[in-house]
Amino acid sequence: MHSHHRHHSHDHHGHHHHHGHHHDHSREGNKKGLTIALLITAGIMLLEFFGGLITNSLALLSDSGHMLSDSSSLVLSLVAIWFATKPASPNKTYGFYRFEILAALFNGVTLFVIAGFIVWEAIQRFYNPPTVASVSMMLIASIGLFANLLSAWALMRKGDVKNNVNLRSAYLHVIGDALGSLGAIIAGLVMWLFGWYVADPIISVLVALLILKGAWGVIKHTVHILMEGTPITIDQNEVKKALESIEGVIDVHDLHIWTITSGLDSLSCHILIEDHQDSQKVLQDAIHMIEEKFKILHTTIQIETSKIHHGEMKV
Amino acid sequence: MVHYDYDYHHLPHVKVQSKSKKTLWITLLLTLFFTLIEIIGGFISNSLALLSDSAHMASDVLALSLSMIALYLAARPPNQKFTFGYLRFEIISSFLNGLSLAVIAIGIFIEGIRRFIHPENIDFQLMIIIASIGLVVNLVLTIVLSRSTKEEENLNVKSALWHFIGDLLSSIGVIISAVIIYFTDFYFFDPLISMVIGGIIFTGGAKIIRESYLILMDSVPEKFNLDEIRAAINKVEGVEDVHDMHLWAISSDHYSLTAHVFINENIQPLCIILAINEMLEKKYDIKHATIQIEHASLHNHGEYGKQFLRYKSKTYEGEAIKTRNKATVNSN
Repeated sequence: MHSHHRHHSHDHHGHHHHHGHHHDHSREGNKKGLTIALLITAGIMLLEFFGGLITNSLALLSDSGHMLSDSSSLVLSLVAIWFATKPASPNKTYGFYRFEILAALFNGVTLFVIAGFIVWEAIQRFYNPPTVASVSMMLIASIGLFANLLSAWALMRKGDVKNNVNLRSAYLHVIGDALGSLGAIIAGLVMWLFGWYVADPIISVLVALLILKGAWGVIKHTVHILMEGTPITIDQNEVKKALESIEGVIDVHDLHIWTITSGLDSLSCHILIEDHQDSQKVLQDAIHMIEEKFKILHTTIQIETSKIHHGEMKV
Repeated sequence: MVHYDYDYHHLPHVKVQSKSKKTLWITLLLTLFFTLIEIIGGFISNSLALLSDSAHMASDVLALSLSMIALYLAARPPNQKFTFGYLRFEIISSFLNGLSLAVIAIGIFIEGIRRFIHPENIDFQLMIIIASIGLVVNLVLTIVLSRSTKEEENLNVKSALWHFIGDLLSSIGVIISAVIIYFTDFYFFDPLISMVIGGIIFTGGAKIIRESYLILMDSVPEKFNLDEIRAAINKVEGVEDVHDMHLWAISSDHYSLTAHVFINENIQPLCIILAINEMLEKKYDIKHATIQIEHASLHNHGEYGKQFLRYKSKTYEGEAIKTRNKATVNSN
């Protein structure tokens, strides 16, 4: 991981001072990967659409619909990255990072809906399997598979697929596509060899289940962040204990740790110290400890002594 | 009052809404009941229209269930994983409901355009029967829900309400267009009216999306002016500078503020914290605040801190010059 450093605006009198963070490096790679994936996906979408019309194959047509949703989610991810580079404003004090998470949630929900549609369509087809031009279908599906693997590779090579939720959901989309194309090839083969036209809906349901699994993961992750939950990698109790072990600290309360966007966490808490302690020293110790031990760079700590602690707060 | 084993909080991040809960349960059960009736009726009369309408009702059940889950979660106390409690889920639920409204509206709009191009023959009798049933059901549900939102302002319930307003409007639209077409043979009224309704639902959905989007983005709530609050903190005695300030909404009407302040090193930091907290609560009703007190000379603030100190020493110099000037004027 690249290093974070504190960045300060020079605008003192305007008071727009922030402890900013640099994410430009990985973002540039993510952008490139997404653009390549978008171009490929949109191309295959058109190919499958016209291929579906010419070969009269509904399977390809619906797959191109799947690709359409992917293209839109890729566009959304790109827009999200662009948004995230916009600086914080008086209205958006945390910047626009969060848009990424919202985009990922949207993607996850779309995947859910798409999976639902596939299952619905498959049930109908199961009872009345339509005849499919299997050879052309296999051919076009093969091109689709190749292209999807290409864009998955582009995303993985250029971007941070493991840690960035937004990229991850886009990646899952593409992988889902590749599996869909693969399923279409297998279904086409079975239909071509044996004339078993039910293979088409059966494979579709399996693909839908795979899509669901990915979607669930993305939704769970994004909802956790949007709920301002404690980052999964950080144990709140451990942070509390670490803070309480600092010399002069009696008690830590009102502790919140949450995620602004993937890889950017924020912490706020109140610390009760012994009356004779130097509050500035304790504060410095706490900030450094949190930064070094838990890699949280954005902290706000209110130091309290027994003189004010809880005196004022009627809940 | 709720007690926390693990952590003390100045503000419980919990909301108990017994009224909304009750109305949501009533509407959920009613909707479920009517969905079942439509399904059974659809099978008995072999009507596809009734069945597809029941699918629509099922989507309402889904929306209501989501809001219901949110309502129950909101009453749960915070824990180590969700230190701000579960209030946020209401906003997420509203966001999803708003999105689904927008999608439904767009679907209606596209269907309207399609029907403009390829007008379809419609079974008017059936259309009016189904629409009338829908009208009555949705009217009842809309009234029940809107009464509750008047008593407890709640974005979550509001987003569920919009689903029913949309349905109600569709029912009215279908009846009006059926009557008009019956008397005038102007077939384009059907798609025209559904497009207008699509537009109305979309604006409702867009409003809810906007409201929940702003909260989920952690943006400054619209009723607050950050610069004004910054100035107010700056005015507190001993405060010399406010920075790294954030003010955001955990949920509707549930705010959190964090800020760092440079203070005059000669003044007790605790008094300043007290004064700021009191001012925030009295003047802005912000109860959840965390203020980090800093001494500019101690904290490494890079260029910003240096600028601040330079600026400060300059103003001191300036005042010194002023007093010196005054002194010379007086001596003259």
